Amino acid sequence: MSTKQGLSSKSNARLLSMLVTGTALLAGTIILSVALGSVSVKPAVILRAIFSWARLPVEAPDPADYTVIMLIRLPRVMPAVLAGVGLAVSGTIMQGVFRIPLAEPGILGVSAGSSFGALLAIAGGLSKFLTLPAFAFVGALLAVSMIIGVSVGSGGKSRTVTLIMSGMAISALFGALTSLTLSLANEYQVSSYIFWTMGGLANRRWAHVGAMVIPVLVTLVVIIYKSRDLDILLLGDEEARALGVSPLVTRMLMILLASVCTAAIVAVTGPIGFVGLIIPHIMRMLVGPSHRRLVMASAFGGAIFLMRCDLLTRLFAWPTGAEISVGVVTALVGAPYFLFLIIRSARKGTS
Amino acid sequence: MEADLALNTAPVRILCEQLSYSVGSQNKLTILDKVSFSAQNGDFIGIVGPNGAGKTTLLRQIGGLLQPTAGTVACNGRLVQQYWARDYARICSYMHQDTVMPFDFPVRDVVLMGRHPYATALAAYSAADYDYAERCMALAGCLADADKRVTALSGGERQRVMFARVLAQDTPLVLLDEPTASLDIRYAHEVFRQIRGLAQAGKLVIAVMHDLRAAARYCNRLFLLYKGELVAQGDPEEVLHEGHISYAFDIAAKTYRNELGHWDFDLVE
Repeated sequence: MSTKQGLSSKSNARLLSMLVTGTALLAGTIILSVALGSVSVKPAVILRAIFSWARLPVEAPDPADYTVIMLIRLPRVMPAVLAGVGLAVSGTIMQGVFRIPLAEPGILGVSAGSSFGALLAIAGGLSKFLTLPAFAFVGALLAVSMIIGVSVGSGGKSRTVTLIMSGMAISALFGALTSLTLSLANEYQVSSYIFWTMGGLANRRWAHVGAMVIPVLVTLVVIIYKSRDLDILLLGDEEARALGVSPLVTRMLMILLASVCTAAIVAVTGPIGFVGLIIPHIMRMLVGPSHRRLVMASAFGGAIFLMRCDLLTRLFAWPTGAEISVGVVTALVGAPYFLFLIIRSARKGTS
Repeated sequence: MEADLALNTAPVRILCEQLSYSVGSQNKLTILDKVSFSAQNGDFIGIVGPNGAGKTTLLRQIGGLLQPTAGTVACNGRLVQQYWARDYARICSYMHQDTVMPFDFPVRDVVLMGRHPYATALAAYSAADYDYAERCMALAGCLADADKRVTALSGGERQRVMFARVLAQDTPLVLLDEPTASLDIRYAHEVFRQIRGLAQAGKLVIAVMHDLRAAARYCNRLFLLYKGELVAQGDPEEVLHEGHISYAFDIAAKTYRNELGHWDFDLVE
């Protein structure tokens, strides 16, 4: 049966070619993002800086270049990579778990919870270095634990519709608390909160990378490992159970991972919209709906998309001096493209 | 198109004792009422009865998809709820009336999902899994659709895909909920012949049967459910007795052998 042998290895070959293409595009975009800016550095210098940081025997670059690369550019590019990976993968997970192509990572109230936490930090005069992310993260975790509370309170039988409705209620609750706090805050606090909600990657440091790297990588690895379970969950709860996948346990694990991952990202970067919604959607069109390929493709796509959007903000800021937030660019680029996809798929008669 | 598959016919024995299932506040609405039976390899059992008699609920109980409110369902001497989902998925497969996939997976990938209980977590499906899935698609009559998107299929085509998926799971116990509800007569006949072949090869098949003629023709044993009670069980022609039919379905029927020697019935006005 050589033809069938072919089908199995063909699927592996497709995966491999996707990984190679993704890695090449990712590496290229990282180098481009580090190289471009008010001071341009050559790609070779970037590699030498990274190698000498890793104490490999290479000729050390100029100290000024080294500072620009290791202390300014990379600490800005790496959060973009991690946030892009995490948001796109979390979006893929939420769309799969809820069987809705329009779900996004904040669907269960994580974004609303972290916004409220961030506002508390700002209003309390604590918006320094890592305290604001810590507050935002706690706010997001509060939202997640409320979801789990609802799920446990309903005897663990909560269906996806119940979870989505709980997410809407929790978002509304935190939204109201945020509005209440805003109406009591002073003008400076209000404007710094609004700036935070636009999502940004400017002035990030390695400590910010450290705060995101573990949740993002753990989520990515576990989801790739469990990708077939996610495929099977799409058939429906009873079907999944009959195929040996416990729907409640699997769904709760996936929701927790995606929510904590999103919480860690939003805490560091503020809410960055559209990455978690459109990247999984586009990748599904490119590599198909099977989650093993889809999750990996979304990780690459999210990182590349967010880095390029961030590059646009920097290229815009460079001559004008005006700093725009990356969340503005993701929505400006993402929203029209998403509308285009909606029209195209409606014309094709598929959803 | 006879089954040229290597079939898993490991010993399987279902023992159902005083099984009851109720819903609503204080369990006021009884769906299943003290159902008891036993079944083992080689049988093709049809569950028949009027709408709302509890046919699907009984099947779901056997599949471990519902908790009984009283009584027990055991498989090989162990309560079905006590199995890990993955272990039970290697003993029992279940085909729902209609399974809708929200994303456009290729048919082949959906059928391969039947191999999930045997696959290791990280590895892709093996060449042997692809081969087995392909033979199952041939048996279910959907090999021509293998590379189509499952979302683009009609209800009948999708049902054949789900049948292929159940075949791919290759369990000694096979539960089917109206497996031919959306099929035309040719495919319905073909699928029923395949199912009967599975039982004759040594699997235990339990299916909810809507069509009484098909139940009489293909099954070797029938359960008649009425208001949650198992009111008759045994040979098809014993169970589909005129008295039973008029009691359970509340219609007057005349049963007879048709020209081809098959059991048949007609309604008396």
